[in-house]
Amino acid sequence: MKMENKMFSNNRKISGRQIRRLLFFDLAGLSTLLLPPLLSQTAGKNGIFCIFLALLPAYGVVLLIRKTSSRMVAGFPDYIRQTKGKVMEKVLLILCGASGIVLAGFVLDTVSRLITTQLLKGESYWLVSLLILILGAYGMAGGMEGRARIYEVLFWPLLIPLILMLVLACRDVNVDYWTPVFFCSGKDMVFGTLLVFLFYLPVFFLLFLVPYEKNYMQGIAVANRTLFLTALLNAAIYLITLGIFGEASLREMKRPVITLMSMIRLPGGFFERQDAFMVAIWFFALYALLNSSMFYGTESIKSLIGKKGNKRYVLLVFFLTFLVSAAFYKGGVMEW
Amino acid sequence: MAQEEKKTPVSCSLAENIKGYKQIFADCADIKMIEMKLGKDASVACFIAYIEITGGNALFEKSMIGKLLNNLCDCDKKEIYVRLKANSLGLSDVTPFATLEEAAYGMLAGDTILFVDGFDQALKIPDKGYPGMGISEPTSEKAVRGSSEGFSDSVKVNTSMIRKRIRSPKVKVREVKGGVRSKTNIDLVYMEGLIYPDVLKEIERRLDRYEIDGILDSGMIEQLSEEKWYSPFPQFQTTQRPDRAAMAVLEGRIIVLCDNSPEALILPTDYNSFIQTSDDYYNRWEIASFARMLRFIASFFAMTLPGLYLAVCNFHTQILPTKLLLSFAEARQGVPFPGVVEVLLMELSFELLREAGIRLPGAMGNTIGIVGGLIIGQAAVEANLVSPIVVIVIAFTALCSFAIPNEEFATAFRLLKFVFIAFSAWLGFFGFLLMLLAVLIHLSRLSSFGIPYLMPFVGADLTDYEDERDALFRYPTFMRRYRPIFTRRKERVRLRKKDGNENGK
Repeated sequence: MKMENKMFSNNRKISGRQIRRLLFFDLAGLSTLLLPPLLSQTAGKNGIFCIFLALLPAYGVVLLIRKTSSRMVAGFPDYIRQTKGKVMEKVLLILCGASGIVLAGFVLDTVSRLITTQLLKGESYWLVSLLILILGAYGMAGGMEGRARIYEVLFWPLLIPLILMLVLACRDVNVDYWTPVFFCSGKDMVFGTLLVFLFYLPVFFLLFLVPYEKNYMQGIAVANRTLFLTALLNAAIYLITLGIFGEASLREMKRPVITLMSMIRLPGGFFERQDAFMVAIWFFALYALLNSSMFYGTESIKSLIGKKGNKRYVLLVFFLTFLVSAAFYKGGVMEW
Repeated sequence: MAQEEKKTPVSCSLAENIKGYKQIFADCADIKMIEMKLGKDASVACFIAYIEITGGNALFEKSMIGKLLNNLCDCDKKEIYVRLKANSLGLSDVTPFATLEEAAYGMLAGDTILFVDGFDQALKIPDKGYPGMGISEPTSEKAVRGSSEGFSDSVKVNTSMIRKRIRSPKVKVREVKGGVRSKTNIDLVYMEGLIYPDVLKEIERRLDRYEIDGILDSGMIEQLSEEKWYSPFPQFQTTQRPDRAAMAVLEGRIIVLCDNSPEALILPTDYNSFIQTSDDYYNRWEIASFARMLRFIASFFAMTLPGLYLAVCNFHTQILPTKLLLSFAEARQGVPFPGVVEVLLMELSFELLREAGIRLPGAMGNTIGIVGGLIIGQAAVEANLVSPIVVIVIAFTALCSFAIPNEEFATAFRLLKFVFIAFSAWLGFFGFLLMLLAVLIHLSRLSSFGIPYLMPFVGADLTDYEDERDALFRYPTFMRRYRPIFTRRKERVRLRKKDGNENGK
């Protein structure tokens, strides 16, 4: 409706609060679920330092985004075309599109496995991933504003129970498991830091958000704060899981944070185990990342092909994501 | 349907007018047409026409047409025409019509039509009008505190009820006709300067978008004007309360009143507005906030509770403590159906009872509640058709749905509840989460005349987070200084301290 474009908040712009909350789920969903065992395997007890060290290159990326954004007039693809030429534009857009779809496929595989192992044991992986993907496409069709609104609403309803559970889990933490530190090689530290940095990389999506921001500096400030908030949450989860399971056990676990949630006893005793409820937090968080990566993949492909219309691109990304997810599933990437 | 109507000019010859008028109203036994003579010497023939019920019994004594005719009986022939032309009797709302068809529509609006021989216009003289139901208490949206007046069936009465509450010349009423054949009066009531003119244009455009034979209730306007017709969530707010409508006018919203309908439509709207009630603003902020939070929670459980019950009991029993689980299992002992059939059986019985209760006459309708609650519920449990826990779940869900103040809004949750039941029965908590996310995505995409449906939980920065002061919590009145997002940007201040501490925005 034409009227809506010029009225009220349907102005194709998203607020700082919306960017912060969306970016937070993009960054925190996958990292809080997968990082603890990966970090434990690489940097061991020093993983906590890797979480904060990885902020340095992440802030470097934000700095690069800031420089690029300041010169951007009509979005990232347009900027590349004007500054790097048509060939470079195609190469970069192919890279962006491919990385968006690969990430979407990986996230779809992760969330489908999470559901089939935690909520619906024995249910078809394909059915679960297809249903999630359909919902992903439906969410994506709502555009940037629609996606941002979902996570603006969900932020506190998801974060409050998580914080509450983490606080309750602190009772069982054995701080002896945190030490000794600084007993790993520099190589392991660097490897651990790079690993964490990989999980911070979705901050790169900020480049695609520039046309939707009121001004690019708003996005930059939000990204800096969100990165730090994500690091804090990851650090808290890593310390708690390390303090409860110990380094050796943590290395062997697949999703320690979900196991942790099943162990926490709520006062009052109305719920025996709340892992099913807590899976919801990661389901929503991973859906955010799936949706974002599909969205940015679509945007890249749309700019690459250059033809108008949205549905055909959504369909294309839908099938590509499903294929990539199937490849991850068949390749058993998550079955480490 | 949009056939071009014939226009017959009112003739100076009364005989021609009578012939034409009788042709228009052939076979209309309820239309009274009376011929008579006017003037001192009864030399001027005239003809009056009215709908039987709309003409007063004391037609020639007390009614306006009676006074006019009595007056004209004392005049000369020439003077009659002068007086008619100049409306020298000063009758209010006398409307001249140049064609017979216009005169006919004027009469159908509930007034009397006068034709005078030698006078080339028909005059509409206001009369008793159609009988209305009068002002009574609204049947829905009951409030503990506040006015007991409800909208009536007459659009004019309803408009005046809003005007009675806001005595400002800036309250404007724009009248449009709806229905090619019904010619229903539709009034758009708004406060000049507070509304976005684009919203007014948009509703006028939407009202003009279709041609329909008849508009019999505001519900028809609502359905024809909604953008997302497939959404179960209403995109217009409805109210039977004039105070609620007046409040909306003060918030820069537009009221659509339709003749023969006691339901006013309010636009734009959002999720939050449906949860608010008028007495939220009359009661103290603590209890108003508490009640509002309850309603938000109720709206969630009205949609999700049976689905959640099925997901937990059929798929994730580990969530429940052993004692509770055992008591659930014990309650289900002997029940031959799976959980989903039990839930559906009870839900459908409840919906049937509800439907029967609405359709039955008042006293019997109340009885149905007792029959349903006591006899069917208890009998079903004793016959081992359903377990007591399911009865509790369904009863609690029903309570939640009744706690939602707006009937149309509650309907959306009642319908979605069945989709939640289906998905939860199929895929357990995963199905439940899928549906929850789908509803959230849908709501995040939904808007009403440009206002996101989830305001102010989304996009609250547009009003500097002021709208959040009237959402989950209702802040004390002195702290709610700004009008909501519906109002024009520069007119948002609604409360200001007189000592000049308030700078306004």
